[in-house]
Amino acid sequence: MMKKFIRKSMILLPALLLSACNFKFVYNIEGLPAGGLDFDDDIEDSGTYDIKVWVDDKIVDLTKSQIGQFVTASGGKYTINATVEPVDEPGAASKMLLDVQDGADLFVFAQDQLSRLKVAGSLAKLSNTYVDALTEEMGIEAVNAAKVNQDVYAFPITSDNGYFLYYRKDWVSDDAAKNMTTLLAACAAAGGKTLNFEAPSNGFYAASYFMATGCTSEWTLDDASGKFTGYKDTYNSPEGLIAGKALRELNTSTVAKNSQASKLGDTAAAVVSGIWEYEVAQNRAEKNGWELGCAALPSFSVDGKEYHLSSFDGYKLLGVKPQVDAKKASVCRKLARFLTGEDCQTERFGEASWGPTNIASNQSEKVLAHKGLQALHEQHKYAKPQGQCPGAWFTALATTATAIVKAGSDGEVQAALDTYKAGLNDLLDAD
Amino acid sequence: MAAEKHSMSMSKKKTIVNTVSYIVLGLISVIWILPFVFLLLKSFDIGNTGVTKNFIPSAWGFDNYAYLFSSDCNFLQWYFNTFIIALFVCVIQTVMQFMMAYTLSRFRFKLRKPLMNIMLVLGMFPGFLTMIVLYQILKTIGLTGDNAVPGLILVYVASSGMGYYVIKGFLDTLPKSLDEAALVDGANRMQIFIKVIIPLCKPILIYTVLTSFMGPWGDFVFAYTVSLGSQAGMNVAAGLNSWLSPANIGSHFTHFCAGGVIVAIPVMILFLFLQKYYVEGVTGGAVKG
Amino acid sequence: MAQLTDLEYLKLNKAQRFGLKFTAFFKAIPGWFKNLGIKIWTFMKNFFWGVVNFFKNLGLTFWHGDWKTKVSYFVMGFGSVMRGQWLRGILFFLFEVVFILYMVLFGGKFLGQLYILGQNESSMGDDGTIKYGDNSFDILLYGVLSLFFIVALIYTWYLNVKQNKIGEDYVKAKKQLATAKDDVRALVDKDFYKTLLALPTLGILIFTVLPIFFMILVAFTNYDKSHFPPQNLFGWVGFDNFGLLFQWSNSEGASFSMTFGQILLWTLVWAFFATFTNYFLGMLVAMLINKKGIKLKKLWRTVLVFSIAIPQFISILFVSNMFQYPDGIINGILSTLSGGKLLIDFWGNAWIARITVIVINVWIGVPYLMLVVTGILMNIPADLYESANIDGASPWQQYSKITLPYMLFITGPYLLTSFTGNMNNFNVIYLLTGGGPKVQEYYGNAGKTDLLITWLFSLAVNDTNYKLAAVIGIMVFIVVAVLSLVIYNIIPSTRNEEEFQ
Repeated sequence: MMKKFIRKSMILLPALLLSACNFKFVYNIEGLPAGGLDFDDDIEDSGTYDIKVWVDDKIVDLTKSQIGQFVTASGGKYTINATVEPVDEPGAASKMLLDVQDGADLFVFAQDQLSRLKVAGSLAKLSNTYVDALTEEMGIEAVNAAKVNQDVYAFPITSDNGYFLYYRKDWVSDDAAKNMTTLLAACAAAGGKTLNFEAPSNGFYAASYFMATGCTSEWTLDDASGKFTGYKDTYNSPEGLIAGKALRELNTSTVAKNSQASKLGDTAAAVVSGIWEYEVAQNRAEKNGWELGCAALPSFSVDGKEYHLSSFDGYKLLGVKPQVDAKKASVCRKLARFLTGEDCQTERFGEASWGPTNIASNQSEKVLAHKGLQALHEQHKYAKPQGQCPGAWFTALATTATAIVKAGSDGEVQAALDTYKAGLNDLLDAD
Repeated sequence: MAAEKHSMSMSKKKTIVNTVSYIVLGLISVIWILPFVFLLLKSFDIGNTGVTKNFIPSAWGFDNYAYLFSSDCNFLQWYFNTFIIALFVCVIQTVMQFMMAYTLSRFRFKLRKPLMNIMLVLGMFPGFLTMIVLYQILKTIGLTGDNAVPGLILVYVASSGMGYYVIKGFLDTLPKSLDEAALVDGANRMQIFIKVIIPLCKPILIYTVLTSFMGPWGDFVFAYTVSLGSQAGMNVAAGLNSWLSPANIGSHFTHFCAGGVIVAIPVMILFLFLQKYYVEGVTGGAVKG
Repeated sequence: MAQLTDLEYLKLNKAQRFGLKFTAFFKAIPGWFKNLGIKIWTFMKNFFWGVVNFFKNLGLTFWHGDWKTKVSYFVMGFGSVMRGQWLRGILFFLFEVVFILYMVLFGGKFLGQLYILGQNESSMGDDGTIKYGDNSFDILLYGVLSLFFIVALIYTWYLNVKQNKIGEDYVKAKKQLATAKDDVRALVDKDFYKTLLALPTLGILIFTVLPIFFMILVAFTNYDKSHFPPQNLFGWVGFDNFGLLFQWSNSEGASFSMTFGQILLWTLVWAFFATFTNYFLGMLVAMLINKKGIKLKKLWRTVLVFSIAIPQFISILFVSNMFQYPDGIINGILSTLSGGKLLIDFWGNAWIARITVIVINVWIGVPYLMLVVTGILMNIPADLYESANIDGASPWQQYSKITLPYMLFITGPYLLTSFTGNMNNFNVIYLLTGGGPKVQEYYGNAGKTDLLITWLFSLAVNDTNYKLAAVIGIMVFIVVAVLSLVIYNIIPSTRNEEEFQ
């Protein structure tokens, strides 16, 4: 269901973090940002606007105040009557698909909904000036996450839609957390505790095994029709078989198929989840007096060779819907630009722990000290960018993973992979 | 002698059968109530906000309830919305259903059979198909988003006439001689309807009011669609349901339980008091309808 | 086979009787078809002549009518007003005016586009703006509404003409025409049903008939996520979507028709078990409570009725979480009892999930059934049981020969509606399992406990694939309708009252 699609939390901090040039971009509302870049041909767009924004529950108040900051900074050029409604990312995507005209003007959604929203015409394309500015501020990877074919359709607002490993340090040692087999053993030894990992039932997580052994699944999206017209998929291959064999290790009651950090330290010794669970995990650790560990995902071995679990880099994007009024379109764009600018991102990180996409924000001390974000950063070395694929692909992969985990032999694993491959054609029509 | 022995073993047999019956009944009662006991217990759990193995809370407290009433969440708004909706719906729906049932029970006119058949056929279509169309219709009238509440009321009551079966079943058991006597006395049909028939319908009236009141509390699909993100337009079912999404369930499950308890309590109280009428409605009308 | 006499029939044992009825049923089928054919032919014949007569009468009325009638053909209500029935006349006229206004101001343009469903695509500008073109959805919806309106107009116009003819005849015969005052008085008396029916039927027309009609039409379009108004247009594709139903995939991948067949099968199986487990268990519980020696009858009933009071979505959602693997409450109890060894993945294994769903449905449905059965049980005349006791019948015999037939007879129709209701029982399945566990072999994200209706829902809401959802909806309707018709005609409740007694 929707929820599975949205499971795209990815945590991906640009690896260019350390090596990227530290370009600090100052946004000047007057229209001419310092640095000389120009935003569009300047449309005279001052005035009063009603703007509706959909963001996650936790940052509603923050967003309201940030919009206020935008208005103040504009020095009276704009007056904005903002309606900020708490709608989670999956809900935002589905509601924008249901009704664009009454939907929000700005909304946050997860990367996997990008192609669907673009095809449905719910996203306005960004001009080259914007794209260049964003690339400087956030790095090319972030911008690629918002691309459909060659055009950018949204503003990356957080890069932490990936996943990593949380664990309770007195039950699972740092070393044990490095390898899947030792990790599972440590969980069981801690008194029948579980590793909460959704790979057996969720394509989003299961892909980490396949990507680790080098399998790829690339889909071509035809711009005009919005259909996925072709694919190149290597999951059904010797590498895929290796990944499948490793997946079977998860066929044990030590593995619980969820990603809830709320059970960490209670029934779970380790949880594979994203940054959105960080607060819950941290609270649990503090309340119950144990130390929280965050690390990159473990590696697994098959036939003597070791592979490090991969993951999806994922972003959450701030989309701007196409407007009928050109002036309003311009203001909405500028507002989105502001909300994803360095100051707002740093503030958002401080208040709600949303990992910034802004390179400069990521340099700040607080970010560097954040255990979760650093684990994400570490995992990023092994993570792959998500790319476009039909939403149904994740479901197909999920059911394949379920079949593989239950397989009794390598032959059955291969059979599951064959079924997966045979079903790929149907995904083309599905989109 | 033989007869005495026979009757003694008969009564012994009866006691055994009865005891076994009591045990079975007791077991059944426990099993049926158990989930609610768990629900209640979980709502007091402040040690762990997610789904857990243990139904006995690790730590007791009213925190979950406090959260519901705090400004952090819109539970009160949802509750208020749903209450208003239920209030309007139970009144209007009862009226509409009575109108339809009385007409079909008492009058004979050319289109009567076709009308009943058409409604039967319409009822065989799955309800969800119409969701997007109804949403668009409401949007055109402007009753979505923040104005979802009147929109929901409108949709719920508009087609309520189709649910006339129970009332009609009951009305059919009222003898036509009543109507005829009143006619002879010079009353017109409208007066008969209001002054004669309706007072006789007290049990079925209460049954209808009760069931129509309960209806809107459970709609989590359509209400979610119509409100389109607006908190002011959400009802309690959609709101509580949103707490169970994978992203939210870890921190909100116990809140869901507490919310569930608060939603269930008034309905349960109403039910307890009006149980007699509900039973009459079900046994009298539902089957014969 | 010659017809048996009554005596010979009674001599047969049960199995032979059943065999007889069974073969009789099948033998009756060809005759049934023949009757159906005759009925259809007669219907068409009557329809044809009815239409011809209709037009003939229209023409005659116009030709022979006086000038008032002739004018009324164009200005509705004119004749009625002229003959003193001003209330009716004005109402007719108003309707005509409203219709014309509606068509000119609103509906007309949609009607014209119905054939194409929109031509101008929306276009997105480079500056983030969009110019909305035609909206296929609106065109279809309001076009259909306009069609309804036109039908209504034709009917009203016909009434108007008829009124005129009657009015003319009355005047010629020097009879009194109903005045406006008479009309109003009739509305609260003889014609009270019209007053009562007005509002409910209007509501049903707009909020049920129109949407259903619309969705049926959608099944013939390509309305899905790539063709989503208002940004995109969708168009007519005829029977293509239905063609999918019969498409068997060549590869071993998921095929729509195979999935549909499997889900249909499970839907029927589920409905069967859900209905009958609840029915018999409910009956059992009701009889248990109703037994002579049991005290506190009200208490037992109240406890069970209690569970009906809780809104379903709360209780079912909670119960669903109770069965989580590996750390829901039930597994917690199981593992404590078995020392940590026994854990059941209730929702992960297809067959366990299916059984669990049926079992939980018992928990949901029995209290309601118990109420229904109790009411009926109380109506069985007690002397039937007494005489059976005197005759030395055992409890089982009493049950199977008195209680059961009586119950089945009375609740026959109820069982049927219960069965079809369970086929469409969205809440229980969706809230318990979401249709899962999802499997590879199924097309479009379907799972092993999915009913047709939950599959429809996920296609519509998650995939916004409305055209397929509409197709499934229509199929569901057909299945339910056919089943209802067949079963309704078979069950004894509606046929052999004497045999029962």
